[in-house]
Amino acid sequence: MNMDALSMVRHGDVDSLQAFIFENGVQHKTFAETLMDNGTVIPRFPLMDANPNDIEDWLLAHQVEHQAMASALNLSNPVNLMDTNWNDEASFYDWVNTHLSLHQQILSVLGI
Amino acid sequence: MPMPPTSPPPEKNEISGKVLNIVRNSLMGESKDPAQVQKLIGSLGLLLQQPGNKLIQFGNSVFLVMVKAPGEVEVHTFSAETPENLIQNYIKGATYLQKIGVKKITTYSDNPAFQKVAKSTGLPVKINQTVKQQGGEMKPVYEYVLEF
Repeated sequence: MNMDALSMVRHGDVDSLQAFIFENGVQHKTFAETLMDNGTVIPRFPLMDANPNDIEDWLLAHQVEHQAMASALNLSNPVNLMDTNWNDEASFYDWVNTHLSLHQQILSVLGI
Repeated sequence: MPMPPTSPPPEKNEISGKVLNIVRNSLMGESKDPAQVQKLIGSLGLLLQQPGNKLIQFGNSVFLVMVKAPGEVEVHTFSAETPENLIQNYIKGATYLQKIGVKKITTYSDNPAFQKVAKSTGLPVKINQTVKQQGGEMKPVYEYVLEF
């Protein structure tokens, strides 16, 4: 897992955002497939397809997957990752950090 | 001999891009509650992982098609279209389903105004009153049946 791509995304930088979206999609796919191997099906969305200029629908699909994973793994209910303003730099980096910790938590629980 | 250009098949088994946008706008229009919208999209994402469930898109209307028996489907609509465009999209959807071998289409709505939309399609839709489970309780709904 390339955690750097999840943590080193820079506000307003499309290249690092695309690297983030790709790595995030890879990790979500891995999480979902690991859960499926254990008999749990969660909703799946094509999270690797995102338009960096219109991120709202992606945020919704992404949030739905995180909620489903939290429920399947008995994690505390995730923060609402849609409740953010990515245009604000500080809010964006708060979101990135919160999201990174969610992924680390899921990796740990799944033993990946 | 060159083949004539064909449209890409409208069937999808995932909620991507434009389709998600249509579904989301449709649900927001009905519910206005973002938490409920998230829950419903999650449920839809799960349904689409079951074989026999597909989304088809015509214009800005998305139809969830669930195979209930050979040649029989149940359809649910997500649309933020004008009534005029919705009617045209219904006709296109019904024509497409007939073309792929569907003999019976059933859909449900608790909105009496939908009767006017169904009649405006000019299709031989039979309308019945029934009850259907919604949100854990049985509610009266209209059942629309189209048989080819």
